[in-house]
Amino acid sequence: MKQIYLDYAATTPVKEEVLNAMLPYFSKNFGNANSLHSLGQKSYKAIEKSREEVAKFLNCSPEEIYFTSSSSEAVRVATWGTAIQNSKLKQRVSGLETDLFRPTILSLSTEHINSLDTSVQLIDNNIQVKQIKVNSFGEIDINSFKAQLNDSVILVNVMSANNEVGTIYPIAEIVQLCANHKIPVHTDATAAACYQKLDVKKSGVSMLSFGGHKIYGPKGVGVLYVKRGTPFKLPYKLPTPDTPAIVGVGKACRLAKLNRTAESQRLTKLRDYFIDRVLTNIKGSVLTGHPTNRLPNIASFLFKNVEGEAILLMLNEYGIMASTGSACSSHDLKASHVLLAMGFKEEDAHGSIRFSLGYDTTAAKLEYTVKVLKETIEKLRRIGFGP
Amino acid sequence: MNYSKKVLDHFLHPRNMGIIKKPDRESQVGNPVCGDIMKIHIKLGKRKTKDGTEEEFIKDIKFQTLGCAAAIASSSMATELIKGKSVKEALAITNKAVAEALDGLPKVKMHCSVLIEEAIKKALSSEKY
Repeated sequence: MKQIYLDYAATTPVKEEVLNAMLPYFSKNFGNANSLHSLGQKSYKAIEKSREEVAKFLNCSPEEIYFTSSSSEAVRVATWGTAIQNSKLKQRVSGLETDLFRPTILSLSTEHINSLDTSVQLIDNNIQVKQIKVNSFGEIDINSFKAQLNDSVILVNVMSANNEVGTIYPIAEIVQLCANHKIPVHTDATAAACYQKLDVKKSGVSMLSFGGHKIYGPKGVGVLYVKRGTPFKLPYKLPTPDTPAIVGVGKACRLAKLNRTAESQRLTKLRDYFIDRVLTNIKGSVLTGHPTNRLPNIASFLFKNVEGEAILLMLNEYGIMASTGSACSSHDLKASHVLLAMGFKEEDAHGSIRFSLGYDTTAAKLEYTVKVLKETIEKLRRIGFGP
Repeated sequence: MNYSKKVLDHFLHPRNMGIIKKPDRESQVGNPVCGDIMKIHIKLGKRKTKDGTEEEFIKDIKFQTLGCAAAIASSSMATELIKGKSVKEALAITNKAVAEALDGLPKVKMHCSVLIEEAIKKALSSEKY
């Protein structure tokens, strides 16, 4: 049975060119980059070359790049490393005693759950965590956001684009607003890295994180950019670098940069075609996220009176692979916090499906997917209570 | 989600789905917030037992379920298990029996079998036995 993979936002395959670049560093040039001998130095040089490649990708200096084990770890290091340093700095400036100074982290309510959980952990360090609210498209109300900014805010977390519904965020504008209060902004660019130009000099963002496995690179590597001068301290010593994975992410960045414009255009067309076919052919279907200001590869929907996990398992029988924000599919039985933050009710969130397109997606595959999706939803509605 | 072959079979090819036009008993359980809703319709019949007494039995049963694969499979299996049984036997069904008949359910999905047990007991207890 043919495979129609439409879950690229969950993970991507390692491209052949990336794999070939990585291979020598598994068993041939396997030295520990921290070792002083020549085998170790080969690893060290490969890592530094990759660092330069990533720096070109982001338009920054190589010294501003850290490699971590994942984008999740990059987010954690960014949050812990800045929050505590900036909190100390601002407390000193305010002159208030520890128990009177209430430092605050502002996090987007549709931020990845890893980022939200990381901020919440800091509550034990006397840090408040407040959410930046969004509308039904997942967009920030800039006036409400401005009202949340004051001198006690030590960090603002706003992702570059949302991984579930694709809505793109105005990072440069947010950075400008935060600059008046000397608030560093961290952006999780994991979902956006393949398709959006991440020029950190242009946006002025203080920190940016992303990972290898969403840009056709390997799992097990993340990138953290920290602008020189940002109050930041590594919260712990990072472990032995994974040379093959780091080489892989550098190569993946280079390829992503080369392909970005053409691939974004190609996928935007396919995405819009697919969205139109789904909304036209399937009763009780709604697009989630902003209709146009969204990532080129994400087509996310709510389907009335049908449950997400059930849809996915039926699609899987036909070789079609996607994901859902339904509570039934999660291990804690909670519906997607992104959809709830956007104002959708729990019962609506149960019928959510995210399709994310990628390098091998074609119009023919999407046409077939629409056909199977329609039949699947009709069958499930017959088992249930109709449309 | 790690589902057994039996769960997948009952999910992809559910038995007893639908409605009965004039049911003798019916019930609805669950709610849209938690994501699972189950409704069952039962047609009762009367028959003579071995010792000559009369008993009511499940002549026909149909279900409608809005929910995940485990919810649909539990509904399908539970209705299969009690179809043709006496009302007394049907009332004795447990969620454990449904889960076992499905070769097990993931821990986080056991509540689906609890829900269909609740639906059956609610329907058959609408008059006292």
